[in-house]
Amino acid sequence: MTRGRRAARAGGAVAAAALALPASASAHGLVGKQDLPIPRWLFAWAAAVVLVASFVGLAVLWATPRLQQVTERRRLSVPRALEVLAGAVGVAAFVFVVYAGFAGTQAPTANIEPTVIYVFFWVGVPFVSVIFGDVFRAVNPWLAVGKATGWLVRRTGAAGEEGGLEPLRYPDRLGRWPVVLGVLWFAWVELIYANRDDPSTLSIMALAYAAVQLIGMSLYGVQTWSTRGDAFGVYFGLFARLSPLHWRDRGLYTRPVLGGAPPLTPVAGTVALLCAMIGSTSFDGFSQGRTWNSIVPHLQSFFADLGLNAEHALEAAGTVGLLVMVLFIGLLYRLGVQGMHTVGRRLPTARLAGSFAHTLIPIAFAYVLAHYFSLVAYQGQAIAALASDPLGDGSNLLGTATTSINYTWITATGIWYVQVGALVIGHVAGLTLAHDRALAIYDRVRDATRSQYWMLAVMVAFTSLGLWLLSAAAQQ
Amino acid sequence: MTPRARIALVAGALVALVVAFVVANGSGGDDQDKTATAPVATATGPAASTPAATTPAATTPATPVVEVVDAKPKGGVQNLEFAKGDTVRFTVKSDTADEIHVHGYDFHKEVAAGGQVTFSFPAKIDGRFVVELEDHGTQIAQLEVQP
Repeated sequence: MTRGRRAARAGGAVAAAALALPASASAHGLVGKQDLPIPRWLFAWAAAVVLVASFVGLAVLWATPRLQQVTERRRLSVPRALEVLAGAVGVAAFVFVVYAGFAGTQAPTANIEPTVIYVFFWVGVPFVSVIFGDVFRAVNPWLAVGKATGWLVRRTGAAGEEGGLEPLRYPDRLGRWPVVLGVLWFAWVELIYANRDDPSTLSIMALAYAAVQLIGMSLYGVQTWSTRGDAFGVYFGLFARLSPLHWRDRGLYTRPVLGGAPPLTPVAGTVALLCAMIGSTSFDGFSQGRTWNSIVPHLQSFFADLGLNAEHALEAAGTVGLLVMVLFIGLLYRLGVQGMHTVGRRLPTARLAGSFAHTLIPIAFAYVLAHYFSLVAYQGQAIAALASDPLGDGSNLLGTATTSINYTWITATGIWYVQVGALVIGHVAGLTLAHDRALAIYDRVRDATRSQYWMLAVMVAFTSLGLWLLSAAAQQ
Repeated sequence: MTPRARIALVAGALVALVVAFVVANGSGGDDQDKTATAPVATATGPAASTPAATTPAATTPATPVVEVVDAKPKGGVQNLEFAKGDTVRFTVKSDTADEIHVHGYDFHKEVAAGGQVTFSFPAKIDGRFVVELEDHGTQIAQLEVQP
């Protein structure tokens, strides 16, 4: 493709997006190859495995809590210089990607920015976090700027004696709600917004996000805001709780697998956050399917009648779909909580909902892995060419600018196994966490077990929904 | 239940699952081989109804045709289905000049206004691929290659 063509294509993209309604079956233009739906025989087997695993789990899981208080062992110390270096690398990468979005070509696949944001940042970081722990915290660019500013202020004594820079008290009612908004906003941009792949638009949004983070940190303090209000930091941090590696107090600690999830404090908005995470990934699958494509013309014409043009009417329809899906996930979870409420000494539903929120983390990760594995496996390879020619101006810095994506290294069948495997393992992990928490909050083992029939139903529902979204029934 | 009994039970369940899965997968694979030997080339578009039986080319299935009218696929996005190992073959007739891009396989061919262009290549990669009017950014067909 010549540069002229690229430019022509970028120019026509907005108009074309409006014309192509609702033809586009892919999440965005980055995807060259989409997954085939899971065939019926594999669907049946996966569902059977889920049921068997659930009942075996009920029979053999332990009778005293094991994951509530895990011991962590310090393995390594991280020198301060490394921390500063990692922060500097993060800031440099952020600045470069934003610059590429403004200065480079506006053709989405030829500019490095959309691939870095949608593939490496949004999906790649969770994959890495589950294995290596919360590595994003080390390179988080806005956090690094916040910490550096705080250090400078202390160093120069600008804070003074009167304590004029004392951070405000973070409102309890706010909890993790800023993160819920942030995650929904990103999901909306990725799945619904018509200009989702437009590099300069992404750069503007990245800068706006960083600005909001800096304001949040200056109001409520760097540490508080980064664990409550930073959408990406908290989102990646939740996945990192599944890792056996824990970075804290300038050291690397090891802990049992899943041992990081139970300490999650269920402040306001935590359940909503996990439902938003699962719901937005579900909507990504659902919006590519037959069911949604039969609903969307009606919604679209409804919004068109309200005076929106075709493009905005489609966005409005997608927004409704996304919110309904998130509410549906929340409703499923709520049903399980209401069920548990009937058991034993009737613990309050608000407390139950918070107590079991962390059991949704592995489910959320399983959804992400199942939906986006092939995106990383294929589109991730595009980084070789993009790194050599990040702005799409024909340069070849590393000599890899002409590398193309190898679509044959893993077959469609291989991807099916990864997807099904992720959902089944996530299901088992969720059940294990729920079982352990039930033992901790119910006085009698019998009540704990009875309460878990409800959580079992919730988990089976989530896993079946996940399988269904990937299956031929939902997609053709 | 003793810890040892628990472990034994889990191990037994795992073994049973793996065995069952391998058995089922084997038979599933056979089914797929059977379908793969029959050349599948269907188009749910207007081309599928083109009577080809009386023409001399009746031995090979009719080449599906995707018609583009006003830079849009006639009858919506067309499905082109093939089995891995077969030859992907389809024709695009267009009243709009553009470049046809088959994603994934990454084939590009120019088509003039009122002209037509035929693609023919071995189905080496399984998956779903977008066939697009490159300059308009409009999807005209979905190519599906089954494993």
